Amino acid sequence: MSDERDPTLESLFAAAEEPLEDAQFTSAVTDKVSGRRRRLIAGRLGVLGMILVLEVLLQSPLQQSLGVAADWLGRPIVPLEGEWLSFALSPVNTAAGVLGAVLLAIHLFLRSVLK
Amino acid sequence: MPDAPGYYAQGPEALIVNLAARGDRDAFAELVRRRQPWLRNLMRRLSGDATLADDLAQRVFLKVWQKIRKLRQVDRFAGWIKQIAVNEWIDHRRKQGTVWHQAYEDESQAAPPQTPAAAIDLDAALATLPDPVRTCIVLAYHERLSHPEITELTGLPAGTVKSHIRRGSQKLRDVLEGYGGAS
Repeated sequence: MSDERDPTLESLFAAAEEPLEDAQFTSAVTDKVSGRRRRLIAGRLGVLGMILVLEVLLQSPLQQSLGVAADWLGRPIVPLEGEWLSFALSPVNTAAGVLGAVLLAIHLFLRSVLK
Repeated sequence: MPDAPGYYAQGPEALIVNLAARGDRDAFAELVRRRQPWLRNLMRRLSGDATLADDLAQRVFLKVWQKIRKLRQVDRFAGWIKQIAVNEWIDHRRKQGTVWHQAYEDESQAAPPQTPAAAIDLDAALATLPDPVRTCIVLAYHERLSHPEITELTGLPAGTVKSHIRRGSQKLRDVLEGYGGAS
């Protein structure tokens, strides 16, 4: 079948075309655009404000938690005399060292199993 | 400096589209002014409801404003906005529960008005066709699109589009003849 159209229907469609008044419709669309823009800006400012408030509120507890964790991870498991000896063995004689070794072992084990 | 809306009213569409794509809201308002009669008429033929048609047309323009920055070829604006309009209509009908790829055999979804004396117009006759059929008919007759263009816009298979237009035209003629609208 070709794209030929029924002339009667064509004329009916042409006659149904209405000249629609534009001012009210156009202003309704532009108002919505402006409203959306205002909401977007307000939303962004709100998120920024929340981030600032959270930072102020959590700054101290976060710093404290990180300090405690760093202290715990760096603490020697077996207390050793001598600063140099303690430093040299710290990769295996601290919680961080043991945790790292365990993670490395798991990684190697999984790699060998999954090969 | 000349009055912006008056100045834009005389500009070629490609320039206005370009300015709107750069965030110029006066240029966008001019695009709305120019395109609104066409878009609202298209939506009226598709939906058969003037209020719904205006609501859908507003949604289309809002999408145009959101996406126009991504429009690379300004000379393709007419086809681009038509695609957004058809997608908006299809999405709207899907949300209403229309199965878009339904067969024509589903027959009409709205019964023709019972009183021949009632003011039967084209929209009422179109309302007797299933959604996909009505959409194909409106795109063929209102937009004067070819079958391949309708296939591309609606995502319906080419054979389905042809069948919808052939059988939809016949049904539309029958309904309109019943009320002395087409002879």
